[in-house]
Amino acid sequence: MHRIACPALYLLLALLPGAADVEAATFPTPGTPIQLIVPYAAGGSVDSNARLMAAGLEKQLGVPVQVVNKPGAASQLALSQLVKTRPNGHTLSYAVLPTVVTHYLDPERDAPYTRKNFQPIALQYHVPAVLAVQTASPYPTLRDLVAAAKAKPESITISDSGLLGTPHMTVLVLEQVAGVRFASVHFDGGAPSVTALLGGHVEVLAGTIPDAVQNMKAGKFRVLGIADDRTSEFLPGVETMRSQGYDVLIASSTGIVAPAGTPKDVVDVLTNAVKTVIASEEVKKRTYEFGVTPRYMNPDEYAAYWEQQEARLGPLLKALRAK
Amino acid sequence: METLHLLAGGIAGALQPTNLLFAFLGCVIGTIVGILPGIGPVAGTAILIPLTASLDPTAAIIMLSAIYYGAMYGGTLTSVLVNVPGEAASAITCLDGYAMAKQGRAGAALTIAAIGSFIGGSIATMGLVWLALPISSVALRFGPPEFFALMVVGLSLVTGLASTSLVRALLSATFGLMVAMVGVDPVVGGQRFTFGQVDLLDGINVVSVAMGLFGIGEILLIAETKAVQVLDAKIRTLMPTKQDWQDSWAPILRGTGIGFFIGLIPGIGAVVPTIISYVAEKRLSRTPEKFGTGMIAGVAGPETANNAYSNASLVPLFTLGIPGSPTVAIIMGAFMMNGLVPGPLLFQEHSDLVWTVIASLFVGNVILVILNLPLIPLWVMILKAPQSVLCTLILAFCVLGAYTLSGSAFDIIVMALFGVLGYLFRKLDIPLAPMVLTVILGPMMEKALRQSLEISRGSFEIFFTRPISVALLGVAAVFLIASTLRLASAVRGDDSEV
Repeated sequence: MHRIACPALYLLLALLPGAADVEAATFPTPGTPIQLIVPYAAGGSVDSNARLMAAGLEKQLGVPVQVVNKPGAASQLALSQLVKTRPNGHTLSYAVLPTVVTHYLDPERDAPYTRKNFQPIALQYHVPAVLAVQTASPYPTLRDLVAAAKAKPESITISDSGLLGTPHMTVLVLEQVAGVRFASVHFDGGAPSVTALLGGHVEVLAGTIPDAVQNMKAGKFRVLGIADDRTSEFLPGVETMRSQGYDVLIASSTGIVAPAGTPKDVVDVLTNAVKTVIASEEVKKRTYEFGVTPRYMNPDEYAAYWEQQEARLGPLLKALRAK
Repeated sequence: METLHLLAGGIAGALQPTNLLFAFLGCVIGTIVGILPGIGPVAGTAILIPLTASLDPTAAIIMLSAIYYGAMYGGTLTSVLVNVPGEAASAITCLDGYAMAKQGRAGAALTIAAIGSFIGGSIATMGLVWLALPISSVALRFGPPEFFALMVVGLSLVTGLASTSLVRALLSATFGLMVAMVGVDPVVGGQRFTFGQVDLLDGINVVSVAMGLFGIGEILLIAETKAVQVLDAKIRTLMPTKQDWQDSWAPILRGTGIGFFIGLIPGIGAVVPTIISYVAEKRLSRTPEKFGTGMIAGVAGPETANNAYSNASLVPLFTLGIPGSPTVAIIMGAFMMNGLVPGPLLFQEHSDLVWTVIASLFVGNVILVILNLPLIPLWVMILKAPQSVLCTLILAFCVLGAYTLSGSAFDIIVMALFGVLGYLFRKLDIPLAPMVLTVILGPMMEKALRQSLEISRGSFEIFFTRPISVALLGVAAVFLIASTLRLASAVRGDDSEV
């Protein structure tokens, strides 16, 4: 067995270092493709946006950019592999905050990385969380909902897309800032959690903006608030939670990361390319059609935002586990 | 009458050359996707999504829908011919379809499956036309408690999958439930049986399990024999006999009904209707003991059910904007990429497009049957390939398919392990179907149970205060009592081993 494995390994080693020596001088190495990992299944929201980005990056960088889907364990599988790859800018991955934060702050999950193992390249888009009820709900405003939860703790049911997903984190943060307790019901993805509210099986939906748009238009849902610092063009007339007195800022914030240790000049090339792609009219238009809002952040802003999320959510996760 | 008028407009749209071309392309791609193990309709449609971005939205959606129901038929081919389910919804077809192939009746099995699929798909589409709006609200009444009750019905069918011994069926089912427990707990996020392996956090993929149990297990079994040919029997006939038709028409109609109604309930998946249909046929048959040895009803029912299901599952999407299965979610993505939002307003705002797509379902089902019937003799020729070549090819496709599931070698290992297990189970005469059933139903049932209890704050009353849930649990109870009585009489009657 060993005899077979070794020559193969040498061959691999012989192929790899050549690229490393010149990478700093000329990134990306001409003719060497960039792997852009999508840690979710093909066809989803991250995947659609990634394919859009890959096409733009190819034009910017002049090398093939391959989208590789490596779904599993809410992106922990792919990210565990990413942090072990060579930091030469040729292997990148998508990452979604705050999901990544929950991987390593939740002792149950025991992820082999923290924020320090990643080199942020650029944040691409935000999908803010929302809370919605049926139009005929007895809780027409966020204030009414909180008051009801105060009166009957742990009894108002809220559906979400899964334990520790962005919508669930939103509920946890609201519980903390409002000093109330809800009864969370975890579903397997956004669609079933929306169906649960449509069917009246739960009283409130915690979701993200695209989950609520069509049912609000159809007059079935009333959106109580957006967990963002600004209102959304997709939900006209809906206020932010912050403006209603509840400081809840949670979004699925999706961006591109590289393994830590990626040389600064490589990062610069990538960041500039991503920035240019996000700013193009074509991409803006398509991103809007996907129902998400582009929001660019450079590596420093991205890292600061990441750490701020970690500081905000860390204690909540600890409290949840301590229960 | 207005419906007819709109449908006529839709048919005119669907018959336009471009739309016809894309329906045809979709059927071809779908058939190929169904044949390749591991690459199911989800991956097939997802890969093509970027391509459809540059198409006219109607053509894009027509093509993606065609891939979806085309794959349901494609999966049958490999199940019948080489005992490898091309996708999970065809797993149950392995049982009798492959047995028929061994007797040289592969052609008959495939013909019946093609025609059953056509009938199931067409009737379900008609249901979509006339019943879509009135019944869509019923689907919404299916909350977690109803879901749980339906899964209990599914589980109570396990005994129906027993061949010779109930104990062996239950052993197989219980083992399946244990496999289903692997992964992250859905409520508190605790890890179960993961042994620190990040690959196990999502649990064990049912497609790798089915490919291993049926495909790899069979190859191992063949490797034991010295025969040069997989099948000793000659390919007797390509066309179903008169008897086959007589045995098939009722299962086809029942399969249509089962597939259609389950398709209306979002989130159940295409596998459940095939299993329910199979068990129903076995129960209703005068010779239930012959199931698994090449009963055509065991092919006709499930194969019809999965096509009826896939057409019907577009109802919740069109009327409520709810994607009932992962593939439908991708089709929904195609709608949204084109600025169309599926849901209550779709019929009003984009009536032309909706009716063209619905009409294309009819057209697509016709294309599928025209495409497949003449090819059956060609497919059956595969069985004439030497065993060494055929088995190697199957193995290669299985490995490729398992890798494609999530782009990791882990699923290949899972498939290999379940292949060995499938071989051992066959040697011990333990049926495989109960295990596949519980691996599929287990996680769905657990989630529904725990969601229900989260809603009711821990009270089991929730299952007995909702009419649909009570009715379904009643059905399950009847199944269980009936099979227990049968078992008891068997014990009294002869030398049963129980």
